[in-house]
Amino acid sequence: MSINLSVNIGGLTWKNPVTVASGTFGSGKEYAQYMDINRLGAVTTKGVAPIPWAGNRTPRVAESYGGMLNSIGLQNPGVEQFIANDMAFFRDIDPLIIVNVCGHKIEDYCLVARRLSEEEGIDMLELNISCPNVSEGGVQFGTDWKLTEKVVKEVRKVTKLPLIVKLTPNVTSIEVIAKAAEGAGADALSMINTLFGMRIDINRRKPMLGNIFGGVSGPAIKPVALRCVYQAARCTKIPIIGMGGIMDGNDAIEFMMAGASAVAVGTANFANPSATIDVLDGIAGFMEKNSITDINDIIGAAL
Amino acid sequence: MSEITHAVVIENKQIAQDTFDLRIHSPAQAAKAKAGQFLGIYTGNPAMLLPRPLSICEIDKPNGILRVIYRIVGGGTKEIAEVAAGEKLRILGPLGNGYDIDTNYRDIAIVGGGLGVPPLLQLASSIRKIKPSANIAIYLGFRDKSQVILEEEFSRYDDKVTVCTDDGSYGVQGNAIAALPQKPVFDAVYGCGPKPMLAALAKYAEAAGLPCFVSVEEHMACCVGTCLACAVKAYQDGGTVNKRACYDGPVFNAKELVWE
Repeated sequence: MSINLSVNIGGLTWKNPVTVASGTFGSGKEYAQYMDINRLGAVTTKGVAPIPWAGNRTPRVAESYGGMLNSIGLQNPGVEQFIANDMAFFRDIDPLIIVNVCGHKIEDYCLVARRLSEEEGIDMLELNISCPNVSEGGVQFGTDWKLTEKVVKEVRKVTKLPLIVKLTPNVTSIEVIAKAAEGAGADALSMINTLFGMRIDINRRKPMLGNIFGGVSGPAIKPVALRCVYQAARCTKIPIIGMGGIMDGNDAIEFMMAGASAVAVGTANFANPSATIDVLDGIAGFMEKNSITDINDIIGAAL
Repeated sequence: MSEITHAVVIENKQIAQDTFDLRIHSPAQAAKAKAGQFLGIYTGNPAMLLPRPLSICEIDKPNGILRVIYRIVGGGTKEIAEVAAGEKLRILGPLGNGYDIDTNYRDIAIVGGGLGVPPLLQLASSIRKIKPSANIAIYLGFRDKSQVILEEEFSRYDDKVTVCTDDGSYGVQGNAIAALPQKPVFDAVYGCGPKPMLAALAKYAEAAGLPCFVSVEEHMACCVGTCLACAVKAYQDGGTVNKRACYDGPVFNAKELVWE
């Protein structure tokens, strides 16, 4: 049976709907030693800021039941070093390249977006307005619809690249934020970023993370992520890249039925470096088993 | 190319309080492994997603066996301790850079503390193999007598291994650094252990003008260089950067690192 796995996001054709969640895959070089990176629909990079960010104090990760917490704090080498380090690799691989853009201020997002738009080989930008681990900016933009609108509008002006806006679940109403991003010119939404959480080391009587709080990811948060995708899909028309605890093909299908046009594999990479390939094969397997010839036929099937 | 594989457990026995000695059959990994590298070992429990970074204690290339000595520190290592001979463990590796052995060094000090001791056994063995004429002086520190491991095996490489315990319940009282000669007689020092111990070792080596190579430990998630959890502050180009313990390390030249 021949099946169509290609989907359209922001005017671009993805050969299949599988990418990775920003921050769980670096720029792809390391995991490319463990899996065939060219099979991915897109590679989504770690967040990139205008200047180097050192990130938070260690410990930066802690495990939790069916998941983990991180408080990396968007450590990154800054946009110029990022370009110097990784562009050659990106031009060398087949998947679309989505660069995650972060900042403390609106000007930061604009600066990075403008600079990346000058480079040949970057296909889409993902605006990170949802990181819970930086003290200034980040999630502030993603929890206030007016700020969401403002930052998306400003970045929209400085780049022609398709713009994905990554949303946080740590809000009262994700619909309000999703609609604000859409109205301001986002081409797609990606959701969800991590849930704000913490753990305590009972022997030391102290928080496990050096930063005290961090973001929870992994299969433990999948139901929350699905709910967010479903809600956003019901109230917006732009495509959604769904993520949050996807471990296998069935998880991915669940997200697509909730309204996602593509899926991102995050924490599962740590549990299994070839998780993305398993997800991709699992999607194809589900389609074959159920005689689904076009992946687009299941997008939003549960809505 | 590194790989994920299922290794067969040959032996997994307790050797000290909460401390286990694991031998796995994993020929492809053993063939590539070098002293100072580590494995990411997954538990069989799907609720525990992350690989446990555990150092390689010995590499038996002819028989394709890797030895890992680990301590139960939480749920994950507890699960690993329950795996019986004949069962399989999913492993990632060998990971990290490992120790580089410079054959110009003739008199070498190896200094370990606690669970930093096991990987130094393979280091001693590798040094002996690469440079049979090397004089290796071994200093091992433990919390107390119940934690002392591998003393006899280290004596294959140094007939007067110095063992120290914090409480004096075995060997010399105090830490391993305090047991080092005040006037160093070494060409280089190699260390692995808790951060304060490594900081003291770096200071000792710096004062004596000795090359010093240390293997550091940090909490990790991916173990392969992507997640940036295991940040280690290092000097670079007149400033500092965060290096990755898992990928740029775990072994660093001590003078590269910021000891604070």
